[in-house]
Formats: sequence, C-alpha cells, structure tokens
Amino acid sequence: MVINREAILAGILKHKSHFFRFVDVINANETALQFPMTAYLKFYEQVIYQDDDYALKDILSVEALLQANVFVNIDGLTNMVTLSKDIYNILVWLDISRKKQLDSQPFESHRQDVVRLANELTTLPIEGINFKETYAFFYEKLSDIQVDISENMRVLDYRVDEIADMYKSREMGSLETGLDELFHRAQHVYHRNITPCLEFINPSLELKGTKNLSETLKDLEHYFEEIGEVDKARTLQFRVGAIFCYYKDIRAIASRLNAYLVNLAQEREFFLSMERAFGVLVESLVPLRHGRHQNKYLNADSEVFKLATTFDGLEDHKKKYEKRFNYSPSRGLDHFNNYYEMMLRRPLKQKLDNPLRALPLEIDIEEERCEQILSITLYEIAVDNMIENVQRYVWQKLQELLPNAGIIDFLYALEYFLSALDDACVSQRRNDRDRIDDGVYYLDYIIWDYAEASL
Amino acid sequence: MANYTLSKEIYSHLMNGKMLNKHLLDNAGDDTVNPLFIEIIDNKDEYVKQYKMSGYHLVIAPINDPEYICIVATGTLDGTKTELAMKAMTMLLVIGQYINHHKFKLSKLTNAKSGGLTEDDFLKMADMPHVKEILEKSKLITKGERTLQDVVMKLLVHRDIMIEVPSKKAYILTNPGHSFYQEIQRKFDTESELANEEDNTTIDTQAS
Repeated sequence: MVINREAILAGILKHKSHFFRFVDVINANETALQFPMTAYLKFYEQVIYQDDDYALKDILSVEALLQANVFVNIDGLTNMVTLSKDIYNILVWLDISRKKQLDSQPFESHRQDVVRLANELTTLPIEGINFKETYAFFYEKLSDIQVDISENMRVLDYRVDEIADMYKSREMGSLETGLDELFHRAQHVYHRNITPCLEFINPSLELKGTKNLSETLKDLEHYFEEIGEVDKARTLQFRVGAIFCYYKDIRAIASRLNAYLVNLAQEREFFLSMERAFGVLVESLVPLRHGRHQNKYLNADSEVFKLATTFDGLEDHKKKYEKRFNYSPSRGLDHFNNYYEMMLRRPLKQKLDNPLRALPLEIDIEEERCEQILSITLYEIAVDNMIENVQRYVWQKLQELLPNAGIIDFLYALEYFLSALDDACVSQRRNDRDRIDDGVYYLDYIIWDYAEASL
Repeated sequence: MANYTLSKEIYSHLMNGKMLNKHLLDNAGDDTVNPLFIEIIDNKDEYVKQYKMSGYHLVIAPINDPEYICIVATGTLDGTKTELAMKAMTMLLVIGQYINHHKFKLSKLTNAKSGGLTEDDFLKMADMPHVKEILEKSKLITKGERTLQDVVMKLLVHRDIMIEVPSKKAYILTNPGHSFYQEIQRKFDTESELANEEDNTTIDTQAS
C-alpha cells in the first residue's frame, strides 16, 4: 500500500518515543542502522493496534514503511530491519542526546573530499558546466561539514555534561559506575571525539604530504582572487569564517572535559596504587598465618614496608631509659625476687596536677558567644552604686549567668561592662592584686573599684 | 641567627618524634604558615648542625620545595623501618583502602572544608575486610583495648602526620601523610613503566 510520506512522518513523530528506542538499539550495538524486526512487530502489536487512530495500522505497517523507504531492507537471515538514514537523522536531530559523536573517520573523509574538490576547481575552466557542477557540489560539502561540526559540538557538549553529572554523582556517592570506567569514558570522548574534531578545524595543524582543511580553503580563496573571481573569493571567505568560528567553542568543551580528566586521572592513580599497595599488605600477612606463637607479627622484612621510605627512622627520640629487668633463666628465681622487692620499695611518685596556664597572646571566640556575653553583660549584670573588685564582681556574675564561662569569656564581658561605667569613677588599687581562674587558664590582675560620683 | 625561644620549642617538638609541617590550620580551616617551620628554613645551616652534633639528621622534605621536617638518628634515614614507621605506614594503607572501598574522593583526606575522617569513618574502617587481621598483626590494636580512632590519634594525629580540623572533630592528612601516598603512587607508576619497557623489548626482539 502506498502511503503519503507526510502521513508516515506524522505517524513516526506521534510515536517518536518508541522510535527513539530503536535508535538506542542501533547506537548501542553499532549495527549500521539495523535493529531487530521482532522489536518493531512487538511495538506494532502493542502500541499501534491499541491506538485510537485506526489509520495508523496501515500508515505504520511494515509494507507501507518499506514502500516509503523508511525501512530500506529486511534481512531475512538475521531478521534485522535497516532504518533509513534520513529518518535516523531526523530522530537524532530531535533528541541530541541520542546522536552519536563523530570520530576521526568522517572528518578525514570530509577533508579528503574538500582537498579533491578544491583541486578540481583550480583545474577546471571557470565557464564550463563541469566547474559549475563541481562548484555546487563543493558548497554542498561545505554545508555538510558546517552542519556536522555544529551538531557534533552540541553532542560533545551533551557528552561532557553527562560526564560532569556522573562525576558529581560520584562525589555524592550515588554513582554505580566505577572510577576506572568513568575515566576511560571521559578519555574516549576526549581522544576519539573531541581531538579529531579540533584537529579537523585547527588551522595550524600540519599534515604530512597533504593539506589541512584551512590551508585547502585558503589556497582556493587565493586562486579565485588571482583569476579575478573576487565574488567567489569573498563568498568562500565568509563560509570559511562560519566553519572555523566553532574552533573556540570546541576548545572550551575540550578544556572543560580536560579539567575532569585531570581530576579523574589523579583519583584513578591513587585508586590503583592503593589497591595494589593494600594487596601487598594483605599478601604480607600470608606467611604470618602459621598458627604458632612466634614470628606472627609484621616486621621490617615484610614486603609491604619496602613500598615507601617516607617514615624511615621515625621514632620517639626522647625516651626515658629506665633500668630494665633482664631475666636470665640460669640465675633462677632469686634474681626476679630481688627485682620485685626493689620495685615494691620504690616510693610512688605523686603525679602533679595539671598546672594552670597563662592566657594565650591572641584570643578569639565565636561571634554567637560574643553576642551572648554582650547581652548578658549589658542587660543582666546590674551596675551598683559601688562595686569593690570590679573584675571579681563581673567574673562571679558571669559564672552565674553564662554556662561554662571561662577566663576568655570574662575578658570580653569585662570590656563590655567597663564601657557601661563612667571612667572617672573607676579607680585602681595600688599593688593590690587578685587572681581568678577557670581550671585551665588563670588571670592575675590589679583590682579596680567603682564608686559613683555622688557617693 | 636562630631564635633560641623557638629553637627550644622546635627541639621539644622534633625529639618527640613529631613532624613539623609548613602549614597549620587556623580556626576557619585555612592553611596558615607555621612559624617554627619558617624559623628552621631561615636558619637551616644552624639547625642542621645542631642536630648533627647530637647524632640526628634533620630531614627537610621534599628537597626542592620543603613541606615538612623531622629528625632521624644518624644512619637510620634509608631503610630503617622503626616500629613507629611500620605502624604509621600500615595505618595509612588501611585509610587509603577505606577511601577506595567506599568510593570517596581523595579530597576526603586532604580538604579541611569538605573532607576529613570522622568517628563514623573510623568505625566503618574497622569493619572492612582484612582490617581486623592487619591491626592484630601490626600490633596496632591489642586485645581490642582501643578503638581505631584512638590508634589514629596516637599514631598519626599526635605526630602531625594527620591534623584535626578545628571545631569539626575530623582529621585530614598533612604533608608527610600526603608524601607517603605520593611515594606509593610513584613506586607503582615506575613499576608499570618498567613492565611496559620490558614488554616492548620482548616485542622488538620477537620482531627482529
């Protein structure tokens, strides 16, 4: 049955989500646009048959699709159906994530075509029909190149986003893919996809025995100028500009991916070396599993300790050497008894309590606590008409009002408290000192008194 | 001219088998330069001589861009695996494997702001395969008396191989700890390169 192509395209687009799955099968297996016929028949039975639009049964039937060249071929042997390149392109154009990024092969083929066509153009007489045909084909090729580069850039951008997402998922600990796989995936995109694309439009890339794309187009432009075809030279110049303007964007994608690659490479290096080093450590345990009581601990001869020298010679150099008990079996138990009695006679040294420390030169406390002290000092510690030993007064009040108050807190409180007093009414006693402590720090100070002017 | 107040502090620090690092962490978790380190670097010759006269070698590493300093008894620099060195190496390998096992990023060990090993990490670390046996065979934990965190505190934190991130109860590596992992990486890199070279030689020989 012959069906209008417009209707077929509308039918495909209506069920594009299913056609995307066929594209996925093609991409995943790299089957040159082939996917299993059974998959299509299943879709036809389960989806098209259930569709309210009865006409779709005819429109998307295998016969109609074959007639319209949507399916190019059905391989009876493998039962695979070949999807038309045009339909495939429309589908991946709709969903860029399903488009495959280009590798070096298509770019090299493009370059060779351009070099060949440019050479032909310089040899053909400009007025001849052959020149016109070649010239038109040459521009068609340039358009293909431009579309390929532009689309490829979008795909590469998407692929780098995918890697970035996976990298972030790894940071969050929710990624199932291993580090090694992620690294290889990023490396593959960088070396097999981004690099060929960059090299293709890199004007300074030198090729042995042939010309790069940029040189070829420049030479052709000069040729047109030389023979007086200025319009053709200008047209070509604009087209060249349009193609090469993607260079910067692809460089940006490359450097973005490179940043992930560097990090991944570092992590991978750490990962691999640690796996191996830990393996050596576990292997070093094997000879020690003999079930006897001697030589059962790791020692300097164990293989694992040959891996690094960073800590060689590390020791407590300040050892307290005490007389040790060297028991010699030949001397019987008397030797031990003497030693034991000697130890019993030795008076026990009382351990000194941890002495208090002077305050450090620089003190700092958290902003929240500072504000808490400020509010306690200004609103809760009353300023009496007369205060003897201002410092102790503030210290005692602060201990009552602030949990876990320390000397450092006290210094802040004192500062705030003094700001609320009239300076002229604060007097300092001569040589009359006092000390406060919080169990860790102590503070010696000369006592200040406060008396309001009217008193 | 060496500062004699600082030199006393340096002596006490180094003689206790501690590493002296170029950087310390301030309260915000940012690097701040260690004045003791600067003192040694500024008066390197004097300090080298001081410890040499007492039978020690002042190790300033790495040579090109010093990041940490320690002392070792003369003649024990290369190849002397002290018990302390062996324990520190073993513990760091267990920590490295923990990072791998739980798919953490390396920054877990190095970044004061976003990383750091916590008490929870040490509990999980103790449950990893082989770790119990390793701890026993290396005498890191005897008869289950201490937790893994205690071991790390005593062995690595008190020696400044790891450092506590202020107000976080988490621990990250200092330069000597980092150097250890880098040395391990270099070791295996070199081995791989040598293996590759050997492979190439074999292929060449076969080809010829």
